[in-house]
Amino acid sequence: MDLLSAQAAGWIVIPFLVVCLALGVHIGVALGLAGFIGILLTVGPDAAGAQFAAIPFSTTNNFNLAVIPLFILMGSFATAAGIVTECFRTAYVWLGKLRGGLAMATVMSSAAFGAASGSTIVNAAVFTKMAMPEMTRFGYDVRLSSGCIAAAGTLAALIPPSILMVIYGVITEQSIGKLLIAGIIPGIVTAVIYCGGIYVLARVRPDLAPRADIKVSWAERWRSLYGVSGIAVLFFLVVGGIYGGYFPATYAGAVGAFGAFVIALFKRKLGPGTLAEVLKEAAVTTSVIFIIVVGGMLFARFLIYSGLVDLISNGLLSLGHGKYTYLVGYVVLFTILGCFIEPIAIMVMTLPIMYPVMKAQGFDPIWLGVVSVKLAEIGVLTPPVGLNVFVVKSSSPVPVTLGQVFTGVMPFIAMDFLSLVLYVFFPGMITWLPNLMSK
Amino acid sequence: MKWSAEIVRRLAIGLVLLGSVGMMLSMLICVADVVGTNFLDWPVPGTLEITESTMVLIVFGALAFTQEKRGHIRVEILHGYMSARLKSLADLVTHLLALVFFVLLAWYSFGELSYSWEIQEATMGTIRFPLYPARTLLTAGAVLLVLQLVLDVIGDFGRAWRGEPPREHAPAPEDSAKVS
Repeated sequence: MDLLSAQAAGWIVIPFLVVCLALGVHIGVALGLAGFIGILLTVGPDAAGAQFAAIPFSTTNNFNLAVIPLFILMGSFATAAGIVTECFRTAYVWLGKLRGGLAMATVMSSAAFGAASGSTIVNAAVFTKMAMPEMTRFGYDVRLSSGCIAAAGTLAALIPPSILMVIYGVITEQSIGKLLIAGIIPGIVTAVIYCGGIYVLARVRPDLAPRADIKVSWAERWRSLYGVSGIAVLFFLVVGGIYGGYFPATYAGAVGAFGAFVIALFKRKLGPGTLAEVLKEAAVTTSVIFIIVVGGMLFARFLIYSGLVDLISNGLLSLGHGKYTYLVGYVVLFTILGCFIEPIAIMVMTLPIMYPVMKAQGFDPIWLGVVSVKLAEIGVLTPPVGLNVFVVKSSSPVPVTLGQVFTGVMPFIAMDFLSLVLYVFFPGMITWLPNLMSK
Repeated sequence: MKWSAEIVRRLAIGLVLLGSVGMMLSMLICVADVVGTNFLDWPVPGTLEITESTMVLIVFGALAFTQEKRGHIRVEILHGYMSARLKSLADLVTHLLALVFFVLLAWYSFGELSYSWEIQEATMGTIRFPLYPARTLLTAGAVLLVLQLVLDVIGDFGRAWRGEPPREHAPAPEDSAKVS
């Protein structure tokens, strides 16, 4: 068989991938088949078979990636334990009275629950069920309430545990522990920016978020803190363990999952039936994620083996633009892909090519990790395919249209870009904490 | 047709349950190792290897079950513009491509598996942990998914032929929230 040049193969494989994705082929399958065909065309059938034989096992039989099911499990146990309700309750009694306070409470409790959950979708789903009826009851505009829930869900991906950070770390061979720690401050800053934006919105357009008439005593406020003490302890255990170098990320995941398991047991929320259900769901979520990663790894092998990575990245570098032109290009690329593809797939598709380029431009790998996660998470909010928006719409107990949610997330997307600008001007807010770490 | 679907379904549930037990086990053993290493000066041997093998079990054990529930992530841009028959046809194509992918995966991993049994493949570390059980689970999970996909392709073909809409997709993200 005559082998093709990398360029020629690229012209066959990339359109194949696009058509597959548009038809609704599973993302992992589309990436994996595209990778297989690509290697077949450029290196030959033996190499293609060897990759197919090796990658599924080496990707799953991997201790670093084992943190993913454990993080998922931690989130599922925490959800089963009813920690979400307590986070929301606490934020509600503290912030509810402010202008736009219920929306702020949603943002803050989503951030707090992000300390137990690594999945933006789960956050969006659980908060829709809890916060939507409450905000509607007090006369909030559905665009604001639904938009704020969808956007606040993305905080889970920045605040550790975070599945996306793990994926970035594995693809770029960076310390997963450092990446997880690096997400803390940007996560908090994003939450604060969201709250500020909500406050301004509520000031300018008071009809969007009427002041809620909530009567709570200070005793009640202090008491509410007890409810979230469990998750606070869990967070310090997980983050402290990583930060202090007591254990690597995978162990932190196990400790977090076990802690959430104990909390759920302690609250008598975990019968045998629920336990089986939680474990089964966690296994399914893990499987879904890993098929994307396996497919992405096969695709990445094609990009590397065929020489496309060198071809494209050298081509990009030879343009000789300034550092920040590349960053703008990176942002545009992620934003466009984010309109159609979900975050993990964006990471596995783009990083093999873009990471070397960005690193050669002198961007700090950990800094770039947080920026990439942020960008991929903007993608779950942008039309036409915005996962969080879909989740909010489909799990909302209050009638809301897709159009309303998409309108509602727009101000939050603008605020996300504001956060990105802050990351560029103050990179220390990302790199400071991980640089303090011992190892 | 009905009984074959039932057999595959039960096997899929069996494998996903086995994966669930594995997940619980790897959580407990990692915690035991953390406690042992940091406080008791007695690390649990083989933690890393056992966790790695259970990972394979979790991922490939849940494959067929996930497919049966239509839980795999996909992009659905064009679906809004399609008729019922066209949607079923699109499903047929996507399932056929998935079938090709997983037949390849099962085929090549079976080759690896038989070699692994032959040489009694094990890890290189201080303890020689056997790798062929995990490879067996990988192949078994992939083969089960292939069977499930064959059933799905037959079903899709029938629906496309009769002009019926495809089977509903499971709202995967909400399932995980349902437990609360």
